[in-house]
Amino acid sequence: MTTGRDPEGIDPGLASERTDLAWNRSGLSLIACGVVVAKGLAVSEPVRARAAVGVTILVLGGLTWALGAWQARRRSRPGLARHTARPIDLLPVAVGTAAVGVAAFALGLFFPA
Amino acid sequence: MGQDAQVSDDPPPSQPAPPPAEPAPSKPEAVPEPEEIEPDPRFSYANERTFLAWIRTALGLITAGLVVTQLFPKFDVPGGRRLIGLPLIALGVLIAVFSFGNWRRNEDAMRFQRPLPKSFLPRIVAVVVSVVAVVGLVLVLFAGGSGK
Repeated sequence: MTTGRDPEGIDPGLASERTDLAWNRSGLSLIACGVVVAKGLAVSEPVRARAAVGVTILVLGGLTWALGAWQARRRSRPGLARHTARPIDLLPVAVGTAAVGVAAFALGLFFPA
Repeated sequence: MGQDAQVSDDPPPSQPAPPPAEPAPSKPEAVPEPEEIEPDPRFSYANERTFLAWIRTALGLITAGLVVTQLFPKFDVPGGRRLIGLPLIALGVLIAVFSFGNWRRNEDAMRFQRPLPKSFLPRIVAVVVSVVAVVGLVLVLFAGGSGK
């Protein structure tokens, strides 16, 4: 039952563009977080731990950006209005963010600058 | 749509229409009677953006906590920076963990035409950020470090 809706007729309009921009901002947030860690590594010990965490976060930011771009391409595929996110699309973002937070917590707890 | 081809031309005679759902009270899984529909993609996109907004909130809190613990000058109170920074980071982790479940519950609610579930995250954020702000204010006022 499609409850009177024609899925092909639904114009997602600017909603998909807003979603694309939201992905971009999320990637930028991760990159900003990585830059902060990388900045911290320049001034304090232990350099190696900070470098590892900072570079990892930067890579995660890039991956998030790529994931968002890939999602945007799926959404914009013609004739298929319902290419919405699946759990497997979003779970890595949540897990990655949680992992970054755990690393940040450990860094703050054990290696305060 | 091709789903209209589901018209049952030959129902098995031994099973007439199933009885209309005795109201199994306790388990919510036992009453999935509202039929499953594909949500409007615009609503799914909005749900996805809400998830991403929570993720950015988490990242902002984590980044703020990192700045406090790693880049701030020390307070006069030992552990003062951790007192501010670590709760922010912990809150960020909490949000990151629960935002995915919230997205999923919202998606399911739309799919089965239930009311959208409530989230406790906004209240937690308000409480933790308020407490941390007060602690930070006290620290800055009374233990503001030797920098002056």
